[in-house]
Amino acid sequence: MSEIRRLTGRLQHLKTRPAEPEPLPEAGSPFVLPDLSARGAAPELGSLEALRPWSMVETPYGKAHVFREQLPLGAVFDEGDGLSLYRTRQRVVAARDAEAPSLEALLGDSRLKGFDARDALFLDIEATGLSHGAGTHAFLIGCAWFEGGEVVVEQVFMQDPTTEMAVLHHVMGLLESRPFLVSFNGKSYDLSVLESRLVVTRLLGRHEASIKLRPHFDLLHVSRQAYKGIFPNTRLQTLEQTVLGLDPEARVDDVPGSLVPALYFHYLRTGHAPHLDPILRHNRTDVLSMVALAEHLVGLFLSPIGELPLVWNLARSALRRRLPAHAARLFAELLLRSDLTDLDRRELLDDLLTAARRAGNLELLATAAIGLIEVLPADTEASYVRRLFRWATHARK
Amino acid sequence: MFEKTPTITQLVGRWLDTPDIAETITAVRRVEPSEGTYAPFPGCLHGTLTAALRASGIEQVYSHQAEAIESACAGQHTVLVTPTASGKSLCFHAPVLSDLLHNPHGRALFLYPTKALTQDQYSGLHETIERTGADIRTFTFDGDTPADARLQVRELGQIVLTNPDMLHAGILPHHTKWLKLFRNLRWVVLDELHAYKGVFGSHLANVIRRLKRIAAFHGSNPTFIAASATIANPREHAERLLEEKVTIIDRSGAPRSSRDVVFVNPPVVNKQLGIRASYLHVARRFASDLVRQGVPTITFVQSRLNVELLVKYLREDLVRNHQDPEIVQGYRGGYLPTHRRRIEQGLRSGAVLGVVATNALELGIDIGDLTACIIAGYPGSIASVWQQAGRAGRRHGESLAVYVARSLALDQYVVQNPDYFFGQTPEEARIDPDNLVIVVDHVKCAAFELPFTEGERYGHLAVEQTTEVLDHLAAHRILHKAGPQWHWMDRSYPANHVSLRSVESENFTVIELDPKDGRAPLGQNRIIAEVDFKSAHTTLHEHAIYNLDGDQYQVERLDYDNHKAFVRRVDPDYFTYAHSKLKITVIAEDGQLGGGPDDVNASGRQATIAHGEVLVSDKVVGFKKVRFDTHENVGYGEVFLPEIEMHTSAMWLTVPEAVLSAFGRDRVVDALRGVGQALHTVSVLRMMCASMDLGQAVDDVEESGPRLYLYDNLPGGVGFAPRLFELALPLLASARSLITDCGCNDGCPSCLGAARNPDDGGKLTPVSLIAAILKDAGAPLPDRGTLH
Repeated sequence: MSEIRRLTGRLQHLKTRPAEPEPLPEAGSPFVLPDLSARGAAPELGSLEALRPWSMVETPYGKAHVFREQLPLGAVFDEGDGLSLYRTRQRVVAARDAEAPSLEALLGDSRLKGFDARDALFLDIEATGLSHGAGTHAFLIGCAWFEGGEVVVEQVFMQDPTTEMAVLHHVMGLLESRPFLVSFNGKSYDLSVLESRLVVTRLLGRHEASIKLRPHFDLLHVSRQAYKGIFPNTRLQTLEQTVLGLDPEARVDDVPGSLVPALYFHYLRTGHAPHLDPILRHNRTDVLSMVALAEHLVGLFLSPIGELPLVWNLARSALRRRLPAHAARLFAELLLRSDLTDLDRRELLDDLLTAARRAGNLELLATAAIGLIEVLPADTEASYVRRLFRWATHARK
Repeated sequence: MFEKTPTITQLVGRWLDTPDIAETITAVRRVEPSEGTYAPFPGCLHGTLTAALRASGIEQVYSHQAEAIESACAGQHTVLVTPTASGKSLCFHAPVLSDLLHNPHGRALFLYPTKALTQDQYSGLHETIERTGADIRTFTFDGDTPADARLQVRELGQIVLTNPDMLHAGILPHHTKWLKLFRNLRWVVLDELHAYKGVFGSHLANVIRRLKRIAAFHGSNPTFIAASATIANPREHAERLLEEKVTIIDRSGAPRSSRDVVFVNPPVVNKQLGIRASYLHVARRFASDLVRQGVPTITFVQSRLNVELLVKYLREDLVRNHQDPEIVQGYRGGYLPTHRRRIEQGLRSGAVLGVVATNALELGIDIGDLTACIIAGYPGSIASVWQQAGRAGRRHGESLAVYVARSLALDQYVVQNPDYFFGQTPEEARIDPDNLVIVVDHVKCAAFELPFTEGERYGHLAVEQTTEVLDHLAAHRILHKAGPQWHWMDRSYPANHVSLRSVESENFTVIELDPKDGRAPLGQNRIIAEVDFKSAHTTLHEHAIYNLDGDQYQVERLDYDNHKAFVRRVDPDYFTYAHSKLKITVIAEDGQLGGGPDDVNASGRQATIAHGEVLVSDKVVGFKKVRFDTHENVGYGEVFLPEIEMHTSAMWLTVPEAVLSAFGRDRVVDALRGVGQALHTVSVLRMMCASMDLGQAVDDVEESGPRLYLYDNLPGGVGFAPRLFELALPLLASARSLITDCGCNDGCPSCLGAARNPDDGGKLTPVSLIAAILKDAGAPLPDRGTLH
């Protein structure tokens, strides 16, 4: 084993497998990678304490670094055209007619019954890697919730791995104090990482149920249903600018996710904290965007108003969620629009036919069948044509 | 359909009475049968299980099965070393199932070296479980397990069957998602323990260290049950691999049929040139004779191409004899799983009488009772011969093994010295779990799985050794020491960068084109086979004839980047045979012993010994067209394919001009090959690796003089070469002793290896060459202890 020193050199020299390529900022990213070899000239300027006014929160496992902010709603929701949060709620209330399906039915998750963003914890982690394996640490956990007329943001930071248990304990306390959890892709990532770390630190036991069973509104899944095919992707940054109309300036020097681990490792090794600033800002922006996005999506699903492709997506989503009556109504409404192409019309009629059949709505079934008969191509199969005529006349009787 | 099937004695008698067959037979030996010893079901078994076994007609077990079951039930780590087909599966299944019937929350992990074997063993286990009527949920878990099924396996699987690679990269790093398994892990079953040798075995030993570490974290302490084919050192091997004291059970209670072993040497057809008849044709003659007379026969050949050739020939013989050609089937890697299952079924049902296989079958796939086995070409080790022979004559009656020698030196030596074969002890399985490069790789993976804490030992390494490795990784910023713990602090997923096996690359698929217009109409693509990366270079180059199941396909186009070969069904009178060229290029020299070739006199040393980084490239340069049956050469073509390159470390020895002129260049090159063989043998022993882990090549470089290379035959290397360099002089001395102490006169496969030209003075030149190299080098005496 004394060979180890020589090995140190040899392992360097003999590149056995291609090393992971250093991540590069995405093209066009204005983020400038700091020189990680440089040490802060004046240590006190580069310290973690100089970066944010942390409060040290006591836990049974020691202290955790927590940066807490209380923000007026206007910092989250655009107040330029009045309180959009308020208007969303009005829209939601207005949409509550007897026939409208519940939010949990629309989202396809019965555990979200009674969901209200004011009872939810919004959570977003920054981690040391993208894999879900046991060795990926969540080193910064951003949490947000409504409190009074404000939004509270807490960023819990793992100052070094010895404070991990304190960090996890504090975050689990926040999570367990609210009945709902909201994340962006947390079902497959954030919670998976947290769960692993709870196991490794032997803290899972008490929190197992809250990690596995807590009602969880994953905004990514829901955004995909709504915006699939409308925007090039449904990343949070894209939705911020397209759906929420957020000022792109907020992200102008955003740190690319792929660089996040390297910046944290640099801090761990040197104690030089300024490079953490972009990560803290990035995480804060993410959590706040999630708060706004959740409100927006709830309103959208309960009261689907918008451009043709958006409402169409929502209607199809309702159909997949076994809400054919709701879907049929939306398809029927869309057919009344004046901006439809012939192709749109045909596809909408097809969708309406399916939804109306499943819903047992003979009237809409006839509407769809009659509509389709008018636009049928010449080579349509005879049996299909016969069925359409049957449906078309059935409702008339 | 057949006339009465003759007995083995009658068959061998007839062969000996037929002059042109008899002249090829060099010896016939008989291994006497032995009676079975039986025992009642051990009392520790759950009543439901014994009842189920009784219901399926099993009233008692073999004595070794009873011993193994009792030992395992008593919580002892148990290793079974009994011949092929002695009922190993029951020794795994009975204690595990019995325990799971008592403890439904318990979990068991079964490891098999290959995916195919896992699938196969799954069916057997599943059948046994069904017979008990118990709801013991059993799953295979490998790269093919769909993502949505994985959750189910993790949550529900009481028994999980997997392979070492998957345990290493897919389960251990995710142990936090496998809580039920690791909290309740009571059994780890390892089949085919002898397959885990050399570097692969050293890796597995480290995976087991990690497995035990994770199990301990979650509060479980599983009992290991393992099985191995006959090797010389089963206890040592198992204890190194598992780092546990084990109970060895090696007295088989299974009955053994009598076995006639017939040694066949193809006749010399050209005395002047010493050319022998094709061993494949001779094997064909024996196989054909056996199958025609209704004797279930398996023939092992040493390459996939030969599987296909022999299948084609045997089917032609059957047609000529007005028999169904389909009773002969090929069986080799590259056949699609459904195809393999069909053949296995045919063998069990008796619809298939003859099967031609590569060694794919060696690994214990259940194919029912066969009577005869033809081993065409020495498979490289005595253990393999017995394992192949064990495929025939499973339990009773009499059986036959026919060994047909190729013209290669090793084959010839064995066929001419049958007693060498019967007298030799089987090979040792060697591993070095403490190989530094391998340890460092796995400590990384282990740290990813769980942080290391001060005072912790990794496997059986001492605390100081463990700490040294951890500090090394911390110095390289892969781990971060915080408080008393080392944490993984890197964005990568280390298991993905550590491969347990050296050969690894995506397979090529073989796609049949529409035979009419030769273009693949969209949606009509038919995948007919898969070929591993390396073989693709020799079998799927453009214009190659690809043989499959007795049919021929010509490769029309090879989409190398996408790993696809497009082939068209053809009916040629030839097959193709690709040849490749191995080239070693020195990239950087890290150290040198002795002066360069130019100052031999100044240093007094007669050769340069050096080590460093090399690039080993294997390039397919062309192919021959060879006519079926006559095997004459009917054409030639060039191949333009990328080289298969491996960047690794090597130790080399360069013979300088002075020695060349004294001995003669050709003699030096020839002797160097012999020295290389002997040096390879002693180095493999010293490194405790498998023969295939060390490459050996002689290159007659014009500028520098002939060179002998020994290199780590694994991408990146695992640290053999620098150690071989340090040990070069004692190893050369050991190699010399190996040659001089060998009981043979002029060199044999055990010492000099390759074919020797007796005119070259047998052992003399290699021995004097070593003497010349060692002269004045102040070499210490060879360390005999490491050799014997």
